[in-house]
Amino acid sequence: MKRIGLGILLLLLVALTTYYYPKLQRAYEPSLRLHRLLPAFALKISSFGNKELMATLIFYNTEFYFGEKAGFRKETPELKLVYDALNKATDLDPRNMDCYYFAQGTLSWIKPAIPVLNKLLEKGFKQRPWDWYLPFFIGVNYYFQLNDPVHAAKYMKKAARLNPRSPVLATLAARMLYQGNQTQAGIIYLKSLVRETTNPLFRKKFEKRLHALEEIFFLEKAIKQYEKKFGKSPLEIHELMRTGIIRKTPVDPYGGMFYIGKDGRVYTTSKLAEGWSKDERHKDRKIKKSVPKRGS
Amino acid sequence: MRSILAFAVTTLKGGVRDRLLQGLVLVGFLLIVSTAVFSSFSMRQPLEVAINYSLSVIHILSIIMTLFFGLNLIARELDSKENHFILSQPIPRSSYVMGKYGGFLLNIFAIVTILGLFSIMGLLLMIPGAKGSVSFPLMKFVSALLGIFFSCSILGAIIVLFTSVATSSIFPFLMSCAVYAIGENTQTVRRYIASGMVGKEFPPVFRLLTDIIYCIFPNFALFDFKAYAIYGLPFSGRLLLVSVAYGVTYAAVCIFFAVILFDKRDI
Repeated sequence: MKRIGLGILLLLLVALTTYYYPKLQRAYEPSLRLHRLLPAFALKISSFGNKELMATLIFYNTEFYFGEKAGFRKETPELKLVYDALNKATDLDPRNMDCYYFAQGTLSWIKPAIPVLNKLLEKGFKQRPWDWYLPFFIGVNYYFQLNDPVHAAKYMKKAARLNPRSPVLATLAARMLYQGNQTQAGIIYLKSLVRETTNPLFRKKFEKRLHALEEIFFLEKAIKQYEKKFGKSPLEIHELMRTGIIRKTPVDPYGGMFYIGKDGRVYTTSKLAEGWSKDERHKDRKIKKSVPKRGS
Repeated sequence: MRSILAFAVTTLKGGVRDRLLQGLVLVGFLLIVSTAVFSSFSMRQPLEVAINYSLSVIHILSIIMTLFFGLNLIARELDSKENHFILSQPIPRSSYVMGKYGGFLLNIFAIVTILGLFSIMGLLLMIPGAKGSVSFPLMKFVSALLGIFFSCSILGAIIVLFTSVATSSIFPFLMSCAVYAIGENTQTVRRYIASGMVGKEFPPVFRLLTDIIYCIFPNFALFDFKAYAIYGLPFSGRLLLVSVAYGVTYAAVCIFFAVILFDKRDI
Protein backbone atom coordinates (compact mmCIF):
# COMPACT_ATOMS: atom_id res chain seq x y z
CA MET A 1 0.00 0.00 0.00
CA LYS A 2 2.85 2.31 0.98
CA ARG A 3 4.57 1.60 -2.33
CA ILE A 4 1.44 2.43 -4.33
CA GLY A 5 1.07 5.67 -2.40
CA LEU A 6 4.71 6.58 -3.03
CA GLY A 7 4.29 5.76 -6.72
CA ILE A 8 1.21 8.00 -7.01
CA LEU A 9 3.04 10.79 -5.15
CA LEU A 10 5.98 10.57 -7.52
CA LEU A 11 3.68 10.63 -10.54
CA LEU A 12 1.92 13.71 -9.15
CA LEU A 13 5.25 15.44 -8.64
CA VAL A 14 6.25 14.69 -12.23
CA ALA A 15 2.90 16.04 -13.48
CA LEU A 16 3.26 19.18 -11.36
CA THR A 17 6.78 19.97 -12.54
CA THR A 18 5.77 19.23 -16.14
CA TYR A 19 2.95 21.75 -15.78
CA TYR A 20 4.94 24.50 -14.08
CA TYR A 21 8.29 24.15 -15.81
CA PRO A 22 7.31 25.82 -19.11
CA LYS A 23 5.89 28.82 -17.20
CA LEU A 24 9.04 29.25 -15.18
CA GLN A 25 11.14 28.70 -18.27
CA ARG A 26 9.35 31.49 -20.11
CA ALA A 27 9.83 33.88 -17.20
CA TYR A 28 13.57 33.28 -16.99
CA GLU A 29 14.26 32.60 -20.63
CA PRO A 30 17.23 34.44 -22.12
CA SER A 31 16.96 36.15 -25.47
CA LEU A 32 16.84 33.68 -28.32
CA ARG A 33 20.03 33.73 -30.36
CA LEU A 34 21.20 31.90 -33.42
CA HIS A 35 24.82 31.02 -32.81
CA ARG A 36 27.43 31.40 -35.50
CA LEU A 37 28.37 28.00 -36.83
CA LEU A 38 31.83 26.52 -37.32
CA PRO A 39 33.35 26.86 -40.79
CA ALA A 40 31.76 24.56 -43.37
CA PHE A 41 34.91 22.44 -43.59
CA ALA A 42 34.85 21.74 -39.84
CA LEU A 43 31.15 20.91 -40.04
CA LYS A 44 31.82 18.51 -42.89
CA ILE A 45 34.55 16.76 -40.88
CA SER A 46 32.38 16.46 -37.79
CA SER A 47 29.44 15.04 -39.73
CA PHE A 48 31.31 11.71 -40.19
CA GLY A 49 29.93 11.02 -43.62
CA ASN A 50 26.43 12.32 -42.91
CA LYS A 51 26.81 15.85 -44.25
CA GLU A 52 23.35 15.81 -45.85
CA LEU A 53 21.79 15.05 -42.47
CA MET A 54 23.83 17.78 -40.82
CA ALA A 55 22.72 20.27 -43.47
CA THR A 56 19.09 19.33 -42.79
CA LEU A 57 19.62 19.72 -39.04
CA ILE A 58 21.19 23.16 -39.52
CA PHE A 59 18.27 24.14 -41.73
CA TYR A 60 15.72 22.90 -39.15
CA ASN A 61 17.53 24.78 -36.40
CA THR A 62 17.42 27.97 -38.49
CA GLU A 63 13.79 27.40 -39.43
CA PHE A 64 12.74 26.84 -35.79
CA TYR A 65 14.77 29.84 -34.66
CA PHE A 66 13.09 32.05 -37.23
CA GLY A 67 9.66 30.67 -36.39
CA GLU A 68 10.08 31.16 -32.65
CA LYS A 69 11.76 34.56 -32.92
CA ALA A 70 9.48 36.13 -35.50
CA GLY A 71 6.26 34.21 -34.93
CA PHE A 72 6.22 33.33 -31.25
CA ARG A 73 8.28 36.12 -29.63
CA LYS A 74 7.46 38.81 -32.20
CA GLU A 75 11.12 39.88 -32.33
CA THR A 76 13.31 40.65 -35.34
CA PRO A 77 15.43 37.62 -36.27
CA GLU A 78 19.17 38.06 -36.85
CA LEU A 79 19.02 37.71 -40.61
CA LYS A 80 22.78 37.85 -41.18
CA LEU A 81 23.15 34.77 -39.00
CA VAL A 82 20.22 33.15 -40.79
CA TYR A 83 22.06 33.70 -44.05
CA ASP A 84 25.31 32.40 -42.56
CA ALA A 85 23.61 29.21 -41.38
CA LEU A 86 21.89 28.62 -44.72
CA ASN A 87 25.12 29.30 -46.59
CA LYS A 88 27.00 26.76 -44.48
CA ALA A 89 24.18 24.23 -44.74
CA THR A 90 24.32 24.52 -48.53
CA ASP A 91 28.11 24.16 -48.42
CA LEU A 92 27.50 20.79 -46.77
CA ASP A 93 24.65 19.81 -49.07
CA PRO A 94 24.44 22.17 -52.06
CA ARG A 95 21.30 20.41 -53.34
CA ASN A 96 19.20 21.10 -50.24
CA MET A 97 16.26 22.97 -51.76
CA ASP A 98 14.72 23.79 -48.39
CA CYS A 99 17.62 26.13 -47.66
CA TYR A 100 17.24 28.06 -50.92
CA TYR A 101 13.49 28.27 -50.57
CA PHE A 102 13.76 29.53 -47.01
CA ALA A 103 16.50 32.01 -47.94
CA GLN A 104 14.35 33.42 -50.74
CA GLY A 105 11.37 33.68 -48.39
CA THR A 106 13.23 35.48 -45.62
CA LEU A 107 15.88 37.58 -47.39
CA SER A 108 14.40 38.57 -50.76
CA TRP A 109 12.64 41.62 -49.32
CA ILE A 110 15.90 43.15 -48.04
CA LYS A 111 17.53 44.99 -50.92
CA PRO A 112 21.14 44.98 -49.59
CA ALA A 113 20.91 41.22 -49.10
CA ILE A 114 20.04 40.51 -52.75
CA PRO A 115 23.62 40.16 -54.09
CA VAL A 116 24.54 37.54 -51.47
CA LEU A 117 21.13 35.88 -51.78
CA ASN A 118 21.52 35.60 -55.54
CA LYS A 119 25.02 34.17 -55.02
CA LEU A 120 23.54 31.55 -52.72
CA LEU A 121 20.82 30.73 -55.25
CA GLU A 122 23.45 30.52 -58.00
CA LYS A 123 25.26 27.91 -55.92
CA GLY A 124 22.02 25.94 -55.77
CA PHE A 125 21.38 26.31 -59.49
CA LYS A 126 24.81 24.87 -60.28
CA GLN A 127 23.98 21.75 -58.29
CA ARG A 128 20.29 21.57 -59.17
CA PRO A 129 20.34 22.40 -62.88
CA TRP A 130 16.96 20.69 -63.32
CA ASP A 131 15.14 22.95 -60.85
CA TRP A 132 13.34 25.91 -62.45
CA TYR A 133 12.59 27.54 -59.10
CA LEU A 134 16.17 28.70 -58.58
CA PRO A 135 16.60 30.72 -61.81
CA PHE A 136 13.05 31.98 -61.27
CA PHE A 137 13.97 33.27 -57.81
CA ILE A 138 17.14 34.90 -59.13
CA GLY A 139 15.18 36.51 -61.97
CA VAL A 140 12.54 37.83 -59.60
CA ASN A 141 15.24 39.30 -57.32
CA TYR A 142 16.97 41.02 -60.23
CA TYR A 143 13.72 42.42 -61.53
CA PHE A 144 11.95 43.63 -58.42
CA GLN A 145 14.84 44.49 -56.09
CA LEU A 146 17.69 45.43 -58.38
CA ASN A 147 15.58 46.90 -61.23
CA ASP A 148 17.65 44.94 -63.71
CA PRO A 149 15.29 43.48 -66.32
CA VAL A 150 18.18 42.36 -68.56
CA HIS A 151 19.61 39.95 -65.97
CA ALA A 152 16.11 39.09 -64.81
CA ALA A 153 15.16 38.05 -68.34
CA LYS A 154 18.30 35.92 -68.64
CA TYR A 155 17.30 33.84 -65.61
CA MET A 156 13.62 33.85 -66.45
CA LYS A 157 14.51 32.33 -69.82
CA LYS A 158 16.41 29.57 -68.04
CA ALA A 159 13.45 28.97 -65.74
CA ALA A 160 11.08 28.86 -68.73
CA ARG A 161 13.31 26.34 -70.50
CA LEU A 162 13.31 24.10 -67.43
CA ASN A 163 9.57 24.35 -66.95
CA PRO A 164 8.09 24.28 -70.45
CA ARG A 165 4.66 23.41 -69.03
CA SER A 166 4.28 26.95 -67.70
CA PRO A 167 3.86 29.56 -70.46
CA VAL A 168 3.85 32.32 -67.84
CA LEU A 169 7.60 32.06 -67.32
CA ALA A 170 8.31 32.35 -71.02
CA THR A 171 6.05 35.35 -71.56
CA LEU A 172 7.48 36.94 -68.41
CA ALA A 173 11.00 36.52 -69.76
CA ALA A 174 9.99 38.11 -73.06
CA ARG A 175 8.40 40.99 -71.21
CA MET A 176 11.56 41.53 -69.17
CA LEU A 177 13.65 41.50 -72.33
CA TYR A 178 11.40 44.19 -73.76
CA GLN A 179 11.65 46.25 -70.60
CA GLY A 180 15.39 45.82 -70.63
CA ASN A 181 15.44 47.41 -74.08
CA GLN A 182 16.04 44.05 -75.72
CA THR A 183 12.87 43.79 -77.79
CA GLN A 184 14.54 42.03 -80.68
CA ALA A 185 16.02 39.40 -78.32
CA GLY A 186 12.53 38.91 -76.91
CA ILE A 187 11.14 38.39 -80.41
CA ILE A 188 13.78 35.80 -81.30
CA TYR A 189 13.18 34.04 -78.02
CA LEU A 190 9.41 33.93 -78.49
CA LYS A 191 9.76 32.75 -82.08
CA SER A 192 11.79 29.79 -80.87
CA LEU A 193 9.14 29.02 -78.28
CA VAL A 194 6.36 29.16 -80.85
CA ARG A 195 8.36 26.78 -83.00
CA GLU A 196 9.10 24.33 -80.18
CA THR A 197 5.85 24.17 -78.24
CA THR A 198 3.35 21.42 -78.97
CA ASN A 199 0.60 22.75 -76.73
CA PRO A 200 -1.87 24.83 -78.83
CA LEU A 201 -2.95 26.92 -75.84
CA PHE A 202 0.64 27.84 -74.99
CA ARG A 203 1.39 28.57 -78.63
CA LYS A 204 -1.53 30.99 -78.71
CA LYS A 205 -0.17 32.81 -75.67
CA PHE A 206 3.35 32.98 -77.13
CA GLU A 207 2.03 34.19 -80.49
CA LYS A 208 0.06 36.94 -78.82
CA ARG A 209 3.11 38.18 -76.95
CA LEU A 210 5.25 37.80 -80.05
CA HIS A 211 2.79 39.88 -82.02
CA ALA A 212 2.89 42.62 -79.37
CA LEU A 213 6.69 42.69 -79.29
CA GLU A 214 6.87 42.78 -83.08
CA GLU A 215 4.59 45.81 -83.10
CA ILE A 216 6.75 47.49 -80.46
CA PHE A 217 9.89 46.69 -82.41
CA PHE A 218 8.27 48.13 -85.54
CA LEU A 219 7.59 51.37 -83.66
CA GLU A 220 11.09 51.44 -82.17
CA LYS A 221 12.59 51.21 -85.66
CA ALA A 222 10.24 53.99 -86.85
CA ILE A 223 11.38 56.21 -83.94
CA LYS A 224 15.03 55.68 -84.88
CA GLN A 225 14.20 56.59 -88.47
CA TYR A 226 12.45 59.76 -87.26
CA GLU A 227 15.43 60.72 -85.09
CA LYS A 228 17.77 60.23 -88.05
CA LYS A 229 15.57 62.34 -90.29
CA PHE A 230 14.69 65.20 -87.94
CA GLY A 231 17.46 65.08 -85.36
CA LYS A 232 15.03 64.89 -82.44
CA SER A 233 12.79 62.30 -80.81
CA PRO A 234 9.07 62.20 -81.60
CA LEU A 235 6.74 62.96 -78.73
CA GLU A 236 3.75 60.99 -79.99
CA ILE A 237 3.02 58.08 -82.30
CA HIS A 238 0.90 60.41 -84.46
CA GLU A 239 4.03 62.34 -85.42
CA LEU A 240 5.38 59.17 -87.01
CA MET A 241 2.20 58.88 -89.05
CA ARG A 242 2.11 62.59 -89.92
CA THR A 243 5.61 62.51 -91.27
CA GLY A 244 4.84 59.38 -93.30
CA ILE A 245 7.29 57.11 -91.51
CA ILE A 246 4.45 54.74 -90.62
CA ARG A 247 1.09 54.46 -92.33
CA LYS A 248 -1.05 53.34 -89.40
CA THR A 249 -0.72 52.87 -85.66
CA PRO A 250 -0.07 49.22 -84.74
CA VAL A 251 -2.67 47.51 -82.59
CA ASP A 252 -1.74 46.09 -79.19
CA PRO A 253 -3.08 42.50 -79.09
CA TYR A 254 -3.59 42.94 -75.33
CA GLY A 255 -6.10 45.72 -75.98
CA GLY A 256 -3.94 48.67 -74.92
CA MET A 257 -2.66 51.70 -76.80
CA PHE A 258 0.95 52.32 -77.78
CA TYR A 259 2.54 55.58 -76.76
CA ILE A 260 5.99 57.14 -76.56
CA GLY A 261 7.22 57.70 -73.03
CA LYS A 262 9.30 60.64 -71.80
CA ASP A 263 12.42 58.52 -72.13
CA GLY A 264 11.67 58.01 -75.83
CA ARG A 265 10.66 54.37 -75.44
CA VAL A 266 7.56 52.68 -76.73
CA TYR A 267 5.07 51.69 -74.06
CA THR A 268 1.59 50.33 -74.06
CA THR A 269 -1.20 51.08 -71.67
CA SER A 270 -1.94 47.35 -71.35
CA LYS A 271 1.56 46.72 -69.91
CA LEU A 272 1.39 43.55 -72.03
CA ALA A 273 -0.81 42.01 -69.39
CA GLU A 274 -3.86 39.82 -69.89
CA GLY A 275 -7.21 40.99 -68.57
CA TRP A 276 -6.59 44.69 -69.12
CA SER A 277 -9.84 46.66 -69.33
CA LYS A 278 -10.28 49.37 -71.95
CA ASP A 279 -11.69 51.75 -69.32
CA GLU A 280 -8.27 52.00 -67.75
CA ARG A 281 -6.73 53.76 -70.74
CA HIS A 282 -6.79 57.12 -69.02
CA LYS A 283 -4.54 55.81 -66.22
CA ASP A 284 -1.50 56.22 -68.47
CA ARG A 285 0.50 58.31 -66.04
CA LYS A 286 0.23 55.79 -63.28
CA ILE A 287 1.23 52.97 -65.60
CA LYS A 288 4.19 54.91 -66.93
CA LYS A 289 5.60 55.22 -63.43
CA SER A 290 5.50 51.51 -62.74
CA VAL A 291 7.43 50.56 -65.88
CA PRO A 292 11.18 50.24 -65.15
CA LYS A 293 13.35 52.82 -66.88
CA ARG A 294 15.07 52.03 -70.12
CA GLY A 295 18.39 50.31 -69.69
CA SER A 296 18.17 50.38 -65.90
CA MET B 1 36.27 -24.37 -44.79
CA ARG B 2 33.74 -26.28 -42.71
CA SER B 3 35.19 -24.94 -39.49
CA ILE B 4 35.03 -21.36 -40.86
CA LEU B 5 31.37 -21.89 -41.68
CA ALA B 6 30.71 -23.39 -38.25
CA PHE B 7 32.28 -20.36 -36.54
CA ALA B 8 30.30 -17.99 -38.79
CA VAL B 9 27.00 -19.70 -38.03
CA THR B 10 27.77 -19.74 -34.29
CA THR B 11 28.54 -16.01 -34.39
CA LEU B 12 25.29 -15.34 -36.26
CA LYS B 13 23.38 -17.42 -33.72
CA GLY B 14 25.09 -15.41 -31.00
CA GLY B 15 23.58 -12.28 -32.50
CA VAL B 16 20.13 -13.86 -32.54
CA ARG B 17 20.61 -15.04 -28.95
CA ASP B 18 21.47 -11.49 -27.91
CA ARG B 19 17.96 -10.47 -29.11
CA LEU B 20 19.52 -8.49 -31.91
CA LEU B 21 16.65 -9.21 -34.31
CA GLN B 22 13.95 -8.22 -31.83
CA GLY B 23 15.82 -5.01 -31.11
CA LEU B 24 16.18 -4.31 -34.80
CA VAL B 25 12.45 -4.77 -35.47
CA LEU B 26 11.69 -2.29 -32.70
CA VAL B 27 14.25 0.19 -34.07
CA GLY B 28 12.75 -0.36 -37.54
CA PHE B 29 9.28 0.65 -36.33
CA LEU B 30 10.72 3.69 -34.60
CA LEU B 31 12.57 4.54 -37.81
CA ILE B 32 9.34 4.52 -39.84
CA VAL B 33 7.51 6.73 -37.36
CA SER B 34 10.41 9.13 -36.80
CA THR B 35 11.08 9.44 -40.55
CA ALA B 36 7.56 10.72 -41.10
CA VAL B 37 7.90 13.20 -38.21
CA PHE B 38 11.38 14.37 -39.21
CA SER B 39 10.51 14.96 -42.85
CA SER B 40 7.31 16.83 -42.01
CA PHE B 41 9.35 19.95 -41.16
CA SER B 42 10.70 20.17 -44.68
CA MET B 43 9.30 22.94 -46.85
CA ARG B 44 10.01 21.70 -50.36
CA GLN B 45 11.48 18.21 -50.23
CA PRO B 46 9.89 15.91 -47.63
CA LEU B 47 10.71 12.72 -49.54
CA GLU B 48 14.34 13.74 -50.03
CA VAL B 49 14.62 14.57 -46.34
CA ALA B 50 12.99 11.25 -45.45
CA ILE B 51 15.49 9.31 -47.60
CA ASN B 52 18.35 11.38 -46.16
CA TYR B 53 17.20 10.72 -42.59
CA SER B 54 16.61 6.99 -43.15
CA LEU B 55 20.00 6.39 -44.74
CA SER B 56 21.84 8.51 -42.18
CA VAL B 57 20.16 6.74 -39.25
CA ILE B 58 20.93 3.32 -40.78
CA HIS B 59 24.54 4.46 -41.34
CA ILE B 60 25.00 5.72 -37.78
CA LEU B 61 23.31 2.68 -36.21
CA SER B 62 25.29 0.27 -38.37
CA ILE B 63 28.59 1.91 -37.45
CA ILE B 64 27.71 1.80 -33.73
CA MET B 65 26.62 -1.84 -34.05
CA THR B 66 29.84 -2.63 -35.94
CA LEU B 67 31.98 -1.14 -33.20
CA PHE B 68 30.24 -2.96 -30.37
CA PHE B 69 29.58 -6.19 -32.22
CA GLY B 70 33.08 -6.23 -33.69
CA LEU B 71 34.60 -5.87 -30.24
CA ASN B 72 32.42 -8.67 -28.88
CA LEU B 73 33.71 -10.94 -31.63
CA ILE B 74 37.18 -11.78 -30.35
CA ALA B 75 38.41 -9.08 -27.97
CA ARG B 76 35.82 -9.67 -25.24
CA GLU B 77 36.22 -13.43 -25.60
CA LEU B 78 39.95 -12.99 -25.12
CA ASP B 79 39.33 -10.70 -22.13
CA SER B 80 37.08 -13.25 -20.45
CA LYS B 81 39.18 -16.21 -21.68
CA GLU B 82 36.01 -17.75 -23.18
CA ASN B 83 37.76 -18.79 -26.38
CA HIS B 84 40.72 -20.50 -24.75
CA PHE B 85 38.91 -23.83 -24.88
CA ILE B 86 38.11 -23.45 -28.59
CA LEU B 87 41.62 -22.32 -29.47
CA SER B 88 43.15 -25.29 -27.64
CA GLN B 89 41.32 -27.64 -30.04
CA PRO B 90 43.06 -28.86 -33.25
CA ILE B 91 41.44 -26.17 -35.36
CA PRO B 92 43.57 -23.66 -37.27
CA ARG B 93 43.46 -20.20 -35.75
CA SER B 94 42.91 -18.77 -39.18
CA SER B 95 39.57 -20.61 -39.34
CA TYR B 96 38.62 -19.06 -36.02
CA VAL B 97 39.43 -15.50 -37.16
CA MET B 98 37.85 -15.85 -40.60
CA GLY B 99 34.82 -17.67 -39.22
CA LYS B 100 34.26 -14.97 -36.63
CA TYR B 101 34.59 -12.27 -39.28
CA GLY B 102 32.19 -14.18 -41.56
CA GLY B 103 29.63 -14.33 -38.75
CA PHE B 104 30.12 -10.64 -38.14
CA LEU B 105 29.44 -9.92 -41.83
CA LEU B 106 26.24 -11.99 -41.70
CA ASN B 107 25.08 -10.04 -38.65
CA ILE B 108 25.85 -6.65 -40.22
CA PHE B 109 24.15 -7.75 -43.42
CA ALA B 110 21.07 -8.69 -41.39
CA ILE B 111 21.12 -5.30 -39.60
CA VAL B 112 21.41 -3.26 -42.81
CA THR B 113 18.84 -5.41 -44.62
CA ILE B 114 16.22 -5.32 -41.87
CA LEU B 115 16.59 -1.58 -41.26
CA GLY B 116 16.68 -0.97 -45.02
CA LEU B 117 13.46 -2.93 -45.55
CA PHE B 118 11.71 -1.00 -42.79
CA SER B 119 12.92 2.27 -44.31
CA ILE B 120 11.75 1.33 -47.79
CA MET B 121 8.37 0.42 -46.31
CA GLY B 122 8.14 3.76 -44.53
CA LEU B 123 9.24 5.71 -47.61
CA LEU B 124 6.78 3.91 -49.88
CA LEU B 125 4.03 4.75 -47.41
CA MET B 126 5.02 8.42 -47.64
CA ILE B 127 4.81 8.67 -51.44
CA PRO B 128 0.98 8.72 -51.83
CA GLY B 129 0.81 11.67 -49.40
CA ALA B 130 3.55 13.65 -51.17
CA LYS B 131 2.70 16.63 -53.37
CA GLY B 132 3.07 16.30 -57.13
CA SER B 133 4.58 13.36 -58.93
CA VAL B 134 7.42 11.95 -56.87
CA SER B 135 9.36 8.80 -57.51
CA PHE B 136 11.40 6.76 -55.11
CA PRO B 137 14.83 5.77 -56.51
CA LEU B 138 14.76 2.22 -55.12
CA MET B 139 17.91 0.94 -56.84
CA LYS B 140 19.95 3.95 -55.73
CA PHE B 141 18.62 3.48 -52.20
CA VAL B 142 19.73 -0.16 -52.27
CA SER B 143 23.15 0.94 -53.60
CA ALA B 144 23.45 3.36 -50.69
CA LEU B 145 22.62 0.51 -48.28
CA LEU B 146 25.27 -1.60 -49.98
CA GLY B 147 27.74 1.26 -49.45
CA ILE B 148 26.89 1.31 -45.74
CA PHE B 149 27.38 -2.47 -45.54
CA PHE B 150 30.83 -2.22 -47.13
CA SER B 151 31.84 0.63 -44.80
CA CYS B 152 30.92 -1.58 -41.85
CA SER B 153 32.71 -4.57 -43.38
CA ILE B 154 35.97 -2.63 -43.61
CA LEU B 155 35.56 -1.23 -40.12
CA GLY B 156 34.88 -4.75 -38.83
CA ALA B 157 38.02 -6.05 -40.53
CA ILE B 158 40.03 -3.24 -38.91
CA ILE B 159 38.62 -4.15 -35.48
CA VAL B 160 39.62 -7.79 -36.05
CA LEU B 161 43.11 -6.65 -37.11
CA PHE B 162 43.61 -4.58 -33.95
CA THR B 163 42.07 -7.31 -31.81
CA SER B 164 44.63 -9.79 -33.09
CA VAL B 165 47.46 -7.81 -31.48
CA ALA B 166 45.68 -6.25 -28.50
CA THR B 167 45.64 -7.55 -24.99
CA SER B 168 42.44 -5.78 -23.97
CA SER B 169 39.24 -4.66 -25.75
CA ILE B 170 39.86 -0.95 -25.09
CA PHE B 171 42.83 -0.67 -27.47
CA PRO B 172 41.01 -2.04 -30.56
CA PHE B 173 37.96 0.10 -29.73
CA LEU B 174 39.96 3.33 -29.54
CA MET B 175 42.09 2.49 -32.55
CA SER B 176 39.09 1.54 -34.66
CA CYS B 177 37.30 4.77 -33.72
CA ALA B 178 40.40 6.74 -34.71
CA VAL B 179 40.78 4.89 -38.03
CA TYR B 180 37.10 5.42 -38.79
CA ALA B 181 37.32 9.15 -38.02
CA ILE B 182 40.39 9.53 -40.24
CA GLY B 183 39.09 7.27 -43.01
CA GLU B 184 35.80 9.12 -43.19
CA ASN B 185 37.57 12.45 -43.74
CA THR B 186 40.79 11.82 -45.66
CA GLN B 187 39.13 12.53 -49.00
CA THR B 188 37.52 15.75 -47.71
CA VAL B 189 40.83 17.03 -46.31
CA ARG B 190 42.75 16.12 -49.46
CA ARG B 191 40.23 17.85 -51.69
CA TYR B 192 40.11 20.88 -49.41
CA ILE B 193 43.87 21.31 -49.59
CA ALA B 194 43.85 20.78 -53.36
CA SER B 195 41.03 23.33 -53.83
CA GLY B 196 43.25 26.12 -52.49
CA MET B 197 40.36 27.48 -50.42
CA VAL B 198 42.47 27.42 -47.27
CA GLY B 199 44.04 30.72 -48.28
CA LYS B 200 47.59 29.66 -47.61
CA GLU B 201 50.14 27.39 -49.21
CA PHE B 202 50.84 24.14 -47.38
CA PRO B 203 54.43 22.84 -47.21
CA PRO B 204 55.09 19.91 -49.58
CA VAL B 205 55.77 17.64 -46.59
CA PHE B 206 52.24 18.26 -45.35
CA ARG B 207 50.78 17.42 -48.74
CA LEU B 208 52.88 14.26 -48.90
CA LEU B 209 51.70 13.30 -45.42
CA THR B 210 48.04 13.72 -46.37
CA ASP B 211 48.65 11.63 -49.49
CA ILE B 212 50.25 8.86 -47.44
CA ILE B 213 47.40 8.92 -44.92
CA TYR B 214 44.92 8.87 -47.80
CA CYS B 215 46.57 5.75 -49.23
CA ILE B 216 47.01 3.86 -45.98
CA PHE B 217 43.73 4.53 -44.23
CA PRO B 218 40.47 3.24 -45.69
CA ASN B 219 38.55 5.80 -47.70
CA PHE B 220 35.04 5.50 -46.31
CA ALA B 221 33.83 8.39 -48.48
CA LEU B 222 34.02 5.99 -51.44
CA PHE B 223 31.00 4.15 -50.06
CA ASP B 224 28.86 7.23 -49.52
CA PHE B 225 26.11 6.92 -52.14
CA LYS B 226 23.53 8.77 -50.07
CA ALA B 227 23.39 11.87 -52.31
CA TYR B 228 22.57 9.68 -55.34
CA ALA B 229 19.65 8.11 -53.50
CA ILE B 230 18.40 11.35 -51.93
CA TYR B 231 18.33 13.43 -55.11
CA GLY B 232 18.05 10.62 -57.66
CA LEU B 233 21.30 11.71 -59.32
CA PRO B 234 22.63 9.70 -62.28
CA PHE B 235 24.50 6.75 -60.88
CA SER B 236 27.06 4.57 -62.60
CA GLY B 237 27.29 0.84 -61.97
CA ARG B 238 31.02 1.10 -62.56
CA LEU B 239 31.34 3.40 -59.54
CA LEU B 240 29.60 0.82 -57.38
CA LEU B 241 31.77 -1.94 -58.80
CA VAL B 242 35.02 -0.07 -58.12
CA SER B 243 33.89 0.74 -54.58
CA VAL B 244 32.91 -2.88 -53.93
CA ALA B 245 36.26 -4.08 -55.30
CA TYR B 246 38.09 -1.59 -53.06
CA GLY B 247 36.05 -2.65 -50.03
CA VAL B 248 36.56 -6.36 -50.60
CA THR B 249 40.32 -6.06 -51.17
CA TYR B 250 40.86 -3.70 -48.21
CA ALA B 251 38.91 -5.98 -45.86
CA ALA B 252 40.75 -9.04 -47.26
CA VAL B 253 44.14 -7.41 -46.61
CA CYS B 254 43.12 -6.57 -43.03
CA ILE B 255 41.90 -10.12 -42.36
CA PHE B 256 45.04 -11.56 -43.99
CA PHE B 257 47.29 -9.64 -41.59
CA ALA B 258 44.94 -10.34 -38.69
CA VAL B 259 45.26 -14.09 -39.34
CA ILE B 260 49.08 -13.88 -39.47
CA LEU B 261 49.28 -11.82 -36.27
CA PHE B 262 46.70 -13.96 -34.44
CA ASP B 263 48.57 -17.11 -35.44
CA LYS B 264 51.77 -15.85 -33.82
CA ARG B 265 50.06 -14.66 -30.70
CA ASP B 266 50.61 -16.30 -27.30
CA ILE B 267 47.34 -17.09 -25.59
